[in-house]
Amino acid sequence: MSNLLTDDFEPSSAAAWKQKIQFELHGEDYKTLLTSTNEGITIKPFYHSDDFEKLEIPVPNEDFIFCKHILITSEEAASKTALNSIKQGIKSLKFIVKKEFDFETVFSKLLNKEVDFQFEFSFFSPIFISELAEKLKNETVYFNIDIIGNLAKTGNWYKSFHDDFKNLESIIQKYPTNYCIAVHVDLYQNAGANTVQQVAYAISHVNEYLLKFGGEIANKIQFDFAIGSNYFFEISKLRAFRYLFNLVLNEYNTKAEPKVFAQPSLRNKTLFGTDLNNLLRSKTECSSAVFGGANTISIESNNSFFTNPIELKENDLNSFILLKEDSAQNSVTDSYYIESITKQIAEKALEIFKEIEKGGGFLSQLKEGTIQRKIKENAQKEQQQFDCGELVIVGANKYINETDTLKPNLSKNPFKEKKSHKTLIIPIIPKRLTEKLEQKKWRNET
Amino acid sequence: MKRKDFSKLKITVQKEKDSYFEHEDFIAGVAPNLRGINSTMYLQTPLETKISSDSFTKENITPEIELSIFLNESLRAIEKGFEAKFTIDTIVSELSFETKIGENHFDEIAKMRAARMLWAKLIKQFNPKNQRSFALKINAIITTSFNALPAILGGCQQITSKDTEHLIFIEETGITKTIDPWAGATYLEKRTEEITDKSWLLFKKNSI
Repeated sequence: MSNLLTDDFEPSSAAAWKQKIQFELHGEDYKTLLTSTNEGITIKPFYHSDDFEKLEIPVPNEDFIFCKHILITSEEAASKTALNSIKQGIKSLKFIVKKEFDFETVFSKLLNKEVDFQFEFSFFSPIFISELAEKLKNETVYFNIDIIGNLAKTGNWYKSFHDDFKNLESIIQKYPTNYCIAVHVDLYQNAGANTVQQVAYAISHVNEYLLKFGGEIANKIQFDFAIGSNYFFEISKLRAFRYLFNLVLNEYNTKAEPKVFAQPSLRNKTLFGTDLNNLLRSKTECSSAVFGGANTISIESNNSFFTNPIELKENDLNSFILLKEDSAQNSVTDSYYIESITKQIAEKALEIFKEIEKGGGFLSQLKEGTIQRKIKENAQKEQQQFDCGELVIVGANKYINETDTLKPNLSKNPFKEKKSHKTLIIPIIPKRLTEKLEQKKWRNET
Repeated sequence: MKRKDFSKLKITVQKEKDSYFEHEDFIAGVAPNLRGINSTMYLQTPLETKISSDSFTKENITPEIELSIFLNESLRAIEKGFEAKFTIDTIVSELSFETKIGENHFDEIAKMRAARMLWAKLIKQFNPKNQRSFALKINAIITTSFNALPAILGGCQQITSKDTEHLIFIEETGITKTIDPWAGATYLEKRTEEITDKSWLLFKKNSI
């Protein structure tokens, strides 16, 4: 800068700022201005260049793209929705696949359009995936197969440990250019893990694949993250993950630019309040994903019980497109606060990763139930914080509109207990913070 | 493959910034109040919110033009106050910056930071006795709920909006837990510097 302001005013040190705050507190304790998080990180009232610290984060070179979810029920309808989305400028389509479908009908008009195809299968059929891969051989495809994630989510392998790994290996070998594997970190977030735990579990989870298939697989893995409400921690979480992933890859003598897929968390979404509330939360979470350097961002979560699912409208995109022009993933560089939180998350997550490895690795700790227990501990802590009003969800435990009813939002009772069946390990179950309150209200209304 | 031994793995911390700007170490609560008008900002002085049904339209002007106009209008108000024999401290206690928040995230944050510094520079030449005279109160008017985000991140004192949606930012996102959270970021500091310099130049040019 020219001497516009430096001639007129004096800069202050971090110490001088703290002193000024203490003076103005009139004897009140400075500690009242600190915020402790469930990660064990303390947010300071201010960050200053005097205490600057950062990690060298490998940020992606490419801009983020937006993804639209398409549930395949009818092939014709799926194809039509996909075409419309492409026309609107969507660059990534995520197909939710519950059973095998006629891919000729779905994809015949969608080829060579420079669009990424993402898949989320609720089953694992190597034959079907092979045929699909043949059809889409000139496209960018993410099959998102996560046999470990499936074990964590359902408590069982698709078939068995041995068969699952064998089937996955055959697909990787046959289609080495596709992104076959996904690491579903979103499950851990939606079940209540904190940001440090999520990063640690992401690294531990992927390390099982690296161990099995070698470091060269690193560039063909997508990481699915769910983005929660703590704005700057979520930005930092994705950055800390990128750093640690490459730190671990060093040990495999390789490097990678991991693909990060981000979508809003379900944890804080609620039937209380308006749809607009949930949309605003989701938009904010997408904004964290943008700054955190996600590659593909979806504003839709797989949230089936809302009658009006969240969809991104064209004018919602505007603010994100403007961010893109600022090359958003780089705009975080040198921010005192974000860099400091990023470093702390990485530091703490690395410790957890080391402990998990020392304990035999992620699979072994899943089988023992250690990961499940740790997630549950944090989830319960958050639930208590919500229950006592320390953690706020507007419309649910603060600024409650007593005249609101849940019914207009719901077609049927979403709270029916799922039947439990025998599982190999304890499954990790997503849980929303307002569920308990909603159930209570639902019972009162019916 | 055999499990690797990760026990020696260490993160490498860097203490140096890639960029440094002359204005960076101006703090909050001390003129020119770059990072906010109170030393503790929202931690002790909650953000005020106001509901208004007025329809606001954002004029399509750059932050630089908006700020140069603001400086000009402030200067005129001060001169008028002097003619009526008021002191500088009395005059400026009545003044604040009312600004409509646009879509360009970082420009809006940078605009508020620049506004505080430019105000302090403008006021300094009149030698106010009261330190609070250097502190510019900002009322951010938002037309879409999402723009409450840059408004809060820029450190405004009041948000005027049509609805209460923006409460989500204050209550749920943790963004008010630390002061001026984007500070230091190269992109934001660069825009803050550019907007400050250019606005002052424009103001000087127009006031001659």
